[in-house]
Amino acid sequence: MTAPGAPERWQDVKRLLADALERAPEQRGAFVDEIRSSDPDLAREVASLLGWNERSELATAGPGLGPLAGLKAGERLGHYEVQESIGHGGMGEVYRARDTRLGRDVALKVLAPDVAGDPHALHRFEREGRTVASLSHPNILAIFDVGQQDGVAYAATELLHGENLRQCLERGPVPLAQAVPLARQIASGLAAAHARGIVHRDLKPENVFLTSSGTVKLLDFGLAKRAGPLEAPGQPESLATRAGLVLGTIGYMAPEQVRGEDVDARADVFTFGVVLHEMLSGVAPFARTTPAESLAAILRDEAPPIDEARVPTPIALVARKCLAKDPAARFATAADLLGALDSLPRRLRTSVYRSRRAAAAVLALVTLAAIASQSGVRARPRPADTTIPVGRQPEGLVSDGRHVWVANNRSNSVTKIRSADGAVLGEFRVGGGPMGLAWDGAHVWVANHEWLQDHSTLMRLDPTDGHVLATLSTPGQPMNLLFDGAHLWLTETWPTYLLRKIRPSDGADLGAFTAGGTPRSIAFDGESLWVSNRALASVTKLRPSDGRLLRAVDVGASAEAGLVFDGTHVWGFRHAPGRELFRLRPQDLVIDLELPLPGRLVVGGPWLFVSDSTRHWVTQVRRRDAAVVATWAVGRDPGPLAYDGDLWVANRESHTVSRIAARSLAAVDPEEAVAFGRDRQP
Amino acid sequence: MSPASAGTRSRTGGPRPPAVTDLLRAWHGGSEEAREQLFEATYAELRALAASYLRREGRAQRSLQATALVHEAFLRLVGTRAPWVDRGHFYGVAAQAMRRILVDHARRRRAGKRAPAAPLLSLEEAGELGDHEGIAVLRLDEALSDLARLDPRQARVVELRYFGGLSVEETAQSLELSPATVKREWATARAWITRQVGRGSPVA
Repeated sequence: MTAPGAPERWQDVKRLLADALERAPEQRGAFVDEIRSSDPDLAREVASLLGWNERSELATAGPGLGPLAGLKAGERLGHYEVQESIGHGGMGEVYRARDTRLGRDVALKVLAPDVAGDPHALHRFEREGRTVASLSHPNILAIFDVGQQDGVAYAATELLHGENLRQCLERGPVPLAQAVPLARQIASGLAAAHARGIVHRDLKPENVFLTSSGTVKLLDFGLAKRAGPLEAPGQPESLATRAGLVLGTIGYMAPEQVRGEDVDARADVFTFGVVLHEMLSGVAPFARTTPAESLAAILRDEAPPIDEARVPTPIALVARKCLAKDPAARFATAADLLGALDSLPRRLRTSVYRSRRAAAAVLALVTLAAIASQSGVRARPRPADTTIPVGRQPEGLVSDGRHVWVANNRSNSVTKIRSADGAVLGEFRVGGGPMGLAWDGAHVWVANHEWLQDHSTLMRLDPTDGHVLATLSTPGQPMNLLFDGAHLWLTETWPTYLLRKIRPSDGADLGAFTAGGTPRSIAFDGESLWVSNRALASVTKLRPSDGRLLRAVDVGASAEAGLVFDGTHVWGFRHAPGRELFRLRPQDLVIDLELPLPGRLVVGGPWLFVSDSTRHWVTQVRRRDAAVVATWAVGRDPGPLAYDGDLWVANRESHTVSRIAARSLAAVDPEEAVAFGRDRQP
Repeated sequence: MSPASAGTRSRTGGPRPPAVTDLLRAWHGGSEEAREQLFEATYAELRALAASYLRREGRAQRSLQATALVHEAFLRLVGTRAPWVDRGHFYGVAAQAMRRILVDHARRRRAGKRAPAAPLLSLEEAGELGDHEGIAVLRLDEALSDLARLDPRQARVVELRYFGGLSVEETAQSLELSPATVKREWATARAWITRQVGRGSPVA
């Protein structure tokens, strides 16, 4: 006989409890009776747990531990008489009820008692009442009354007949003739909310109700907020945890929501885009098999293109603009979105219609807004000229003038490419996890990030046959390499976090210096070294002769890889909420430009190139005025860049290198290219 | 210093996958040390991520999203190229790290101390992770520890699903169980934990 609670006993209890739970609730009693006949203690335990199970709301959604209200027909709350349960939402049960004073039927949303005992949840519930009450709009569910009785909080709302958009979508895409008017109504409801500074934050097909008369009603402003602190949510189907806190529903969240950043109306615009996309194509663009994959898709993947044979381009463009990863590239509010929908040609708003002119009009609108928001995102990236397969996960790229060298991080190799025609001349074995590459005028240097070894290595290669001429050991794990014309500089991470100076002729270690934080990327302005530091949100300036720290500039957010000097400015990339490119005037150490562009950098001719690993493209920025000239579609997860007249891009996830030829780069900005060429003439 | 500090790797800059995937592999090979290192690296990354989310611009308007954090840590440390088996194991470690972060935080709050300022994790700055949630986390943590004594595997299921935000399928992957088993473990654990917490615990 084992004591109750002992592991063996629990296995028995668990097995029977699982069996019981797999039965219909009304059959469980009989099942427990069966157990009781042979083992009364066991039966008692199973029955007890079954009882608690009914009160359990411990979903992945969060603790929410406690019973539901469970009102029966005929019970009264205030002057409402419950008739029947018609469903349950995030925070409680919804009933059809009779308003005995006004003699009309209402929907009565009752907050679960344990939730009502939670001041946060109660506050949220009441706030939803207030929020929605302030939004009298035909496309928003009206709340008549909010009250409490015997500790039970409730809200009376208009009673709707019809179905929600989810049920509608289960039958497939919404016909275009209906989709646009529906989208318009959704946008109209959102616009009313946005106009009052209220963001819905949990728009999804379940929260869009289609009444039988064809009117859209937006439901569940439970997560809505005005500008102000976030509330702790408790929304089971939204994967919300009161401990772990995810606001919004996976698959419909905006990227900034996924990242836990502040959200504004543009998050609703993104979510609207997801819903519109799903209505038009029948496919939820970021739905994946698991929540984690959905989150990743929101952050990284573009929505699949909408079938242009079925959906006119102007509408698809509206959806695409809503779905921009960068909030600044979306419509700023639902009112702008509504404006775009209303500016669709009349026939398009009501029936299937295709017109090039209409497409052009909306494209113009979209592009203008993009320019206005300084997002620099153009509608269509141009294709690269050449794609060259290399080893796995290229993490380093350097040009020796006639060749481009690629460090293949996961193949432990280096690939040599002939610049003139992109021919692969060889792949050479190096150390483990090559990262950084440098060219000192005579040799190629490779920094190998040997993860589990005591020491990482730095190798000098013969540029003709890739032969390893020398191997040096480095105490810290190398990140980036730079040749300043005299010495090699290496940034090291764990465990040293130093900047190391190396003499190329014999590989002598000339000392390691603190760069003031965790050094990542290095630039050289002809006189001083510039180092980006990830931890201290700074860019530091060092004297190369003795590694002395001259100045530190706080750039306000973690400075990431990507620091270059273009002759007048130091350009960097910082891991701010908008992932910004910044430009520093080295003389007075002032940031004089911020641009929401992520990624690694390289200077090339009159331009600066920025790789965008999220959108899988490279942006060409004119250095003179920081205007975005073009975007270039490359492989997946583009990172390191090199420029030798042509632009070379290492695509880490596609295991390729893309080449964009000099003439292609010049063609998108011919005047600048010519002027630059002229200036360079002696 | 542990390799955790190499959690300064980022998507944009650094040596990502080989590192953690090698640790994962070493752990598969039976190295407990590799598992420890992996935990430390993940814990550091999660804390750093949480802190950086919360610290930005000093505005007290952010909440901590465990699932999102765990996932972003995954993207940073492992990358999307990892085979599923690595993915599952990583999430297992990450869920544990997330649990520790949340519990530590709740304890600090209960002790009435201000959490250390950035760059250490200071969830206070999230504004709204109130005492209520903190206590819920502590109670759950305690119940989960009790369950672990009774049934370690089942406690892992809860940890993964609750603190790691994993779906049934992902949990199954992570623990090398069938999804059906995970469902049963989850359902029965829910009842047990609800009772354990509901009967009152010293934390309350």
